[in-house]
Amino acid sequence: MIARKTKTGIIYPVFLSDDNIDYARAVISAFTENTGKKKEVIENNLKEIELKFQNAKIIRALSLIMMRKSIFVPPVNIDAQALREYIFSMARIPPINSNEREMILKSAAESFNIDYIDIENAIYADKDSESILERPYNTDEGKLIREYNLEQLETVLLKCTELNISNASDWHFVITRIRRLGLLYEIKNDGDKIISVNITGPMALFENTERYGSKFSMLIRSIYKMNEWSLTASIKVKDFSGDKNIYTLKLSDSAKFFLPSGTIKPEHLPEHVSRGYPIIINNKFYFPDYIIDLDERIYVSINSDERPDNLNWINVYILSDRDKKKPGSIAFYNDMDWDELFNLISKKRNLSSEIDNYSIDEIKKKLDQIYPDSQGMIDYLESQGLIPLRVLPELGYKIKWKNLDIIIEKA
Amino acid sequence: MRIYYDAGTIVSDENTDPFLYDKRSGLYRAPAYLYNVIKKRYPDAIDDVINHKSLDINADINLRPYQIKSIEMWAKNDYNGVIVLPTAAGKTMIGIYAINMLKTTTLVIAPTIELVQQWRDKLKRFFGIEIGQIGGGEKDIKDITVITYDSAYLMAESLGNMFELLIADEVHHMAAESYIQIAKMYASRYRLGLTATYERPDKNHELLENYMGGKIFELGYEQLNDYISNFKIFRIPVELDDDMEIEYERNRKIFLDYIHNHDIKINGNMDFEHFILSSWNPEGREALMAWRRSREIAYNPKGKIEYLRYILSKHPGKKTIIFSEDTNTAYMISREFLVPALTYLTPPKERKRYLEMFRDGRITVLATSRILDEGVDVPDASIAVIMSGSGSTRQFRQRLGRILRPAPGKESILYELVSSNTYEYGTSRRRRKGVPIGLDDSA
Repeated sequence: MIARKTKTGIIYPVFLSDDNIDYARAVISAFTENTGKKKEVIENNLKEIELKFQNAKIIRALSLIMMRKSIFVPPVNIDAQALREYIFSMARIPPINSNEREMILKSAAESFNIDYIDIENAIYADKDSESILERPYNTDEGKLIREYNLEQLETVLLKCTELNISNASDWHFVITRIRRLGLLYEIKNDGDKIISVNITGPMALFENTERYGSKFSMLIRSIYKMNEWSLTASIKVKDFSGDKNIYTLKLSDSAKFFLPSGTIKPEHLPEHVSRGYPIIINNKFYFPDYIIDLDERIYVSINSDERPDNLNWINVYILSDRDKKKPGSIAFYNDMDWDELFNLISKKRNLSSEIDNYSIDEIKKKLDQIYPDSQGMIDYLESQGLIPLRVLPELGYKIKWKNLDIIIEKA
Repeated sequence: MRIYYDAGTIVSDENTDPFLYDKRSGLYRAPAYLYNVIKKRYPDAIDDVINHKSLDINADINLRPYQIKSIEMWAKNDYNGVIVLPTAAGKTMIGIYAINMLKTTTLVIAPTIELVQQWRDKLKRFFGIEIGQIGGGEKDIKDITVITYDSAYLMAESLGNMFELLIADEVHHMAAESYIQIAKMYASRYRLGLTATYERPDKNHELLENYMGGKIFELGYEQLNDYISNFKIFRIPVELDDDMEIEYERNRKIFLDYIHNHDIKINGNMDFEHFILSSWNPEGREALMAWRRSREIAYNPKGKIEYLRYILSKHPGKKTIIFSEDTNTAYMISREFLVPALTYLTPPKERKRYLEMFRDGRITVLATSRILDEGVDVPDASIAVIMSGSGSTRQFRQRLGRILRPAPGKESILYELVSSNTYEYGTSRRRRKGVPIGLDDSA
């Protein structure tokens, strides 16, 4: 992290401007001039450059971006892992003189069909430091500097414990991003107008934790592209003494001058779906992420437990691969599945409006066959795309809980 | 009252102790580790926190008397607490016994991929069921799952309510600032910590009292003579050649002058971190580089390699592990003697493969940097060579532990190669503090 701290408790990332072009130039040329050489050679070259500049950390940070985005290839084209296993197995009792050693290596070169002269390089041909720079990252000083600036901002936010955003030109984008990242927030509003949003994570209730830093950092990566925004972040930093202190970072859209250019791509929404907006009901503030207009209006919130009483409202959870679905909830993995959601909505509508329909009788008959296997009944309903907790009461069943096990009885 | 798990916390719909009001979501929340407390206080709550699942497992295990005693103490402490036993005293067996006793969903956390794979293999062998693994490129959740500390920390939100029993191997790692969140964010009611080295220099082990149940049982090497192999330690001084010695002194002086002029006292890790933090100006940078250079010279791998050649020639066919502090030395040995190097850079599959080959005797020598320091079980390894190491007693004991697994008639030898006239001598003395010495021919 390359940041300055003041005695008054302010912290800011050290951004580079066009005045610092010499840093970027030196790093880029360490790559372009060493095309075709080992990564190790470039590393050593960069270490020398570090000593020549006032701030070695900046050289390091710029190098990391170049390393990541350049293309490296192995020095010898060979299955190095198989070669090693061959050699190590032959050297079961390791050779302690050069004749024995040479014999083993010669035999390996022969069976892998390579020149003996290449064998020493081939043993660890797949090791990162041995790899050869094939194509340096194609960039220019200005572009590299802007990428560096964004990385510094993201790095500072890794230590963030609490983030406040105000003056956003697109609140819908901000709130939806926060919810999708599984963060929690408090909104300060004036009627249906949002003033600011204060963002933390679940554990923040008990401790001042940097745990959500990586999520704050992901958040900034997209929201800095908005036309207008301001942020205030609490950043936890370790001092020389090892104590941790909280510093404040303040930044606004004027910083975009230093950051890579970009705009927010509009989210592609299916027909009948539009972006949500704040709604006030009984003086309470709600923010549905989406609004679906079929023959009636349905409000959809993602990853949020809000639910006003007298609106047609659905909460949808977007989970990561490993998350467990809460029984009875509507959940999708990784992203919204609009087709599936429409499917669920239409099934639910059918059920309530055509309760004595033939297909409902079929379902009921099937359920009676499965009864009293509660889990079996749930599995069956879910396989039909239905939400068991809603459907069962309408079909005359009672739901009881025992720990996590659902017990279904006839009402 | 209804309770459920949410991202490291337990949420309740009622305002009651120990829950706090969370105005962000309008619900009541407590950290997940309090689940056991909540469960006892509100036995009638509708509980959606964790699945109780009784596993159909039955392992045939006969523990040694001190192992039985330790597990009894753990059971008495409500199945919570840390058991401290020296390396090679059979901690893994205690863990397996605990799972067999509770027969419930279990997450075993270990610091390295080697240990994670080792646990997985053993659990599979004893219980005859598929064991899940997360970390080292695998993401496979089963009723009994093994995981690295890193993954357990990163995935606490999703994994925190899947396992009733939490076993933390080398539990001293859990007291680290980030990893302690594993203990806080998992709802597991039963917790077992295992380690040979409970106390941490930063005193953070005291945190384990609260979250793991504290130390409930401890034995040292001295009480376990019957169960570990006999061992000897030889310290071999290695001279630097004249040019190297001059270069060593020159670099040492740059470093010492810098810390003297800037009034930095180096007395432990914290001070050293201070030095590193202050070294981002050109002068400090030079001092840091000089320090690194002097350390590299003191490691003196080129000089030591001839002594290593001699040691290897004395014990052909004996299982030997060569430890170094840096990865470069491990690769140098690997290339010179055509033996596998196991470092943090070695892909997990290859690490596993070499360890298997080593166990089977298809290879007899392994070179490694620090990744085999802890826990990996190679029953018949009997020779250890320390090419270079830190001043940590913990590291020294752990490395010694690699060759102490008992086998009939086995006698283990640990060689320490130390550059004379360098700071390495002091480092070697520091790390051996309190370790019983078999036979010492130190110069």
